[in-house]
Amino acid sequence: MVKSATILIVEDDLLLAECYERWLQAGGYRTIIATNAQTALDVLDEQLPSVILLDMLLHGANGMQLLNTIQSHADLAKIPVVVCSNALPKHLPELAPYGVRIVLDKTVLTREKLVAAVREALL
Amino acid sequence: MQQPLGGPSAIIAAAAHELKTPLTLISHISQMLADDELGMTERERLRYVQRLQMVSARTLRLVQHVTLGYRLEDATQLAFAFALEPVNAREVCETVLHELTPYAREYQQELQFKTNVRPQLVLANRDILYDVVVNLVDNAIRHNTPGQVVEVAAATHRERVRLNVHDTGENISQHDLNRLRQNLGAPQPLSGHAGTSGLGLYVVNQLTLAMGGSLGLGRARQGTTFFVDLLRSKQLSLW
Repeated sequence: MVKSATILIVEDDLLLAECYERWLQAGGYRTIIATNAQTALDVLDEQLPSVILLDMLLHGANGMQLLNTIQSHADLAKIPVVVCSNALPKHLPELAPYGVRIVLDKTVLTREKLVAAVREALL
Repeated sequence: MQQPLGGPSAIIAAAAHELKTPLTLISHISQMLADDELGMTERERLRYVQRLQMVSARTLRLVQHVTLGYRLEDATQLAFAFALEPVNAREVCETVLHELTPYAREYQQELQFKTNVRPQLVLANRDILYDVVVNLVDNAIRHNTPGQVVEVAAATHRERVRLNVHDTGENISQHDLNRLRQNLGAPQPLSGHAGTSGLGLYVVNQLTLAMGGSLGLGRARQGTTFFVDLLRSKQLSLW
């Protein structure tokens, strides 16, 4: 059931991560926050979320490096990814091979847009 | 004075890049506060209002840096823009740390000032030195490892006073370190340091040079140390 899905939020700004957590929880989703790529991989070692919400510009290893690592593991590669970033150098067609279903512009993001994107990624 | 590379367009590009993050935060937190469906308690709302104030203050600091960046384009104008005088570097550092402590705690960090000498008088401009220290500490907070301490230290080296700002965040690569050391006179992003354009460091470097000082940086076992060397004031200290 879509509504009980767990969303892994990979966002290095804690305030933004908390915001997305509140928005998604209000939409009925469970959430896990990882503030860097390594923590995200640690979470993925323990459990498989239904969707990964990913910021591309992370401190340390960036979103692209995380996407590459995820794609190198068959079980993780199946998880749909929603990219949410201030800087979008690549468009969706270029990111699609990395499991990215939707690209969101963080600067104009709203609760409705985020929840709709996660719902779409889960379909 | 070192002339900036890239000119106004580089500063505008750097500023736009750096302003996106705090403005996005302001937008998102505002949306949360206006959203009754999130079921926030009054206490939680108050906490977010306080966060909003802190992010707004940071945004204003960034705008101030942009303004300074433009002024720094004209070194001659800057030289007459402020006077150098004996300034208590310790007092400036302690003021900055006091003001930025709530901001650091939002990022689960502590700020610490270490000095084993009496208050140091340096030849500087208090407002400009304040901007330099704010910028370096702000930068360190954003790059520090959560749960760790950002350490500011002051020490006397012969005719100079060195102010160190150390974070325990992701190490700057040797490539970036060399690039920065060779070219502090232009905004430049660092790999592995998300959301930074190098604008703050460029401003710090130019301001430090304008006070007759110098900016440097080095890698530690964990993290990065930025340091500012300033001339000691010859004026007799009352301490």
